[in-house]
Amino acid sequence: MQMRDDYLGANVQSTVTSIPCMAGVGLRATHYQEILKTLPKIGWFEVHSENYFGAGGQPLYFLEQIRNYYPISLHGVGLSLGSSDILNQLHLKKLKNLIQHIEPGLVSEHLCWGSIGGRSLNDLLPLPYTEEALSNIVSHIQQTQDFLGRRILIENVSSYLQFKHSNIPEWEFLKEVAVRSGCGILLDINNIYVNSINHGFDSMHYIDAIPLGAVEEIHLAGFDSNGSCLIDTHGTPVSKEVWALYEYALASFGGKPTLIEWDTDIPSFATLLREALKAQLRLEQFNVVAA
Amino acid sequence: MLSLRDLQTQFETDLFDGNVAKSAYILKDGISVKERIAIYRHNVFSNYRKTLSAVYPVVERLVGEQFFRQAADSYISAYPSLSGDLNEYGANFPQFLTAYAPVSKLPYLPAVASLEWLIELVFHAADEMPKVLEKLINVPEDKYGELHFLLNPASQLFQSNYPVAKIWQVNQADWQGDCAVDLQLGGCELLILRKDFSISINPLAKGEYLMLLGLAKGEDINTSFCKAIEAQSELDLGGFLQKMVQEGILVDVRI
Repeated sequence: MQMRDDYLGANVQSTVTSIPCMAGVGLRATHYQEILKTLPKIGWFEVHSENYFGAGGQPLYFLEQIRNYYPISLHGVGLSLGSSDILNQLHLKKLKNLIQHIEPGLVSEHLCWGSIGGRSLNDLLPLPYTEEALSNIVSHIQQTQDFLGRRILIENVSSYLQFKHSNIPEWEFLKEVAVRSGCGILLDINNIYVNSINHGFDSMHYIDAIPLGAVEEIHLAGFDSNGSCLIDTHGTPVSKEVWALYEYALASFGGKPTLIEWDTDIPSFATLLREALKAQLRLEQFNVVAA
Repeated sequence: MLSLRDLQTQFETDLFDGNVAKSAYILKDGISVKERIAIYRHNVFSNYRKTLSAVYPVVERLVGEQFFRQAADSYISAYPSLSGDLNEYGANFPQFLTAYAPVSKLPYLPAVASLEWLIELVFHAADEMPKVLEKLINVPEDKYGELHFLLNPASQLFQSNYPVAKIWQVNQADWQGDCAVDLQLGGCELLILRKDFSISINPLAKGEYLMLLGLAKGEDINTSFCKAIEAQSELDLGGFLQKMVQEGILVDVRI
């Protein structure tokens, strides 16, 4: 694959931990060897925190190796911050250990719940947007930030239903979460688009409602349709509607580290890099215009 | 209005039961509430099915994809996940299979599943640098019997009355030989070991297995050896321990 020379200067052998304002991709086990062999020009990698909760072996080894060359962001899927259960202390401890070990540039989780009564559904389930759910998740985010000793980012999720007694729009809810807990926002542009179609709202209006300084990272991914609903599968290229909304978001918030998520039907690393390049070019274009 | 707790509890029930009679808490809008819950049910179930199929490929191969899916779905409903980390999911699958009537004609299946779960544990286990030799330098030989050895954390011991190692071997994708296994071959004692990120399944003699099992339980050399020679009178203790240390199976020693 031809790369422009000035594209994504790799932080070769650097110990930089902060996530640069560049495109990054999700790190997948099938790509470990290729990445270490070719040291591709890419700004950073993101991993699902839980996949590195084990005590040792291959996953941690490769993450440590790749960490020697690239900044890493830890993205959790299992903390269930929106649950009415108390926070799972063991899960938090494992996350803290991993953070101390890897020194990630960013740590993020989701605006969702996934467990109840001590049982986990291991999915990102939508919350009712009510004052009760809001104060519950804010308190859990604060506890998490206190325990980890750092700020975390919270990502908006896709949803396929709405709860009848929700009385706060999702964008207001997300904004309030950030304002009250002091967390940052990981804005998933694909999830905004998917929800705007599924629930019939204006995606640009959503972006307009997000506080300017709160967004620290952006996610882009592909979706599928089941005929009646858009489903956030992370298994296809980013759609042109989502690219357009991404450009709108860049114009609002300025350039932000941007991740291409591709979690199912994982393509070749070259394909991932090509998707990342599309985000990188938009980031650069925006920065030129802004400068 | 449902409290957050009641809503989350109800949603979990509705997701598993597929019964939406009580799902009046979900907005009716375009597609039906039943269909909306079905999307989540599909996501949750396919997530778990994929996880089980990744951990138990040999079980899946033995019973076939369709049958495995049915077994997986029964397991998913019977054994809720207790961790937000999906890598911990599936620990009770061997136990579930023991009581799962449709596989009662495959009595070796739970044992195959147990082996596959141990392989999974070994994959994620801690890395440990061997320190036996340096620690033994200062131990007089007449004290060796009182030593407590520690097994490599990336190792697991396994025993079954069925030829599980053979069943596992002939069901690997790269196996070229005959796939038939004679169940009369009898049982096996095995050591599963990770070395340089590759995991091997090593047959042990009965005495060797009992020796390592005793050490793994924290018994000293004398105690473990007494049990081991009952099963295998010719067991050469010195030679066996030396080999276990050399191969990185015994990694540490407490005096």
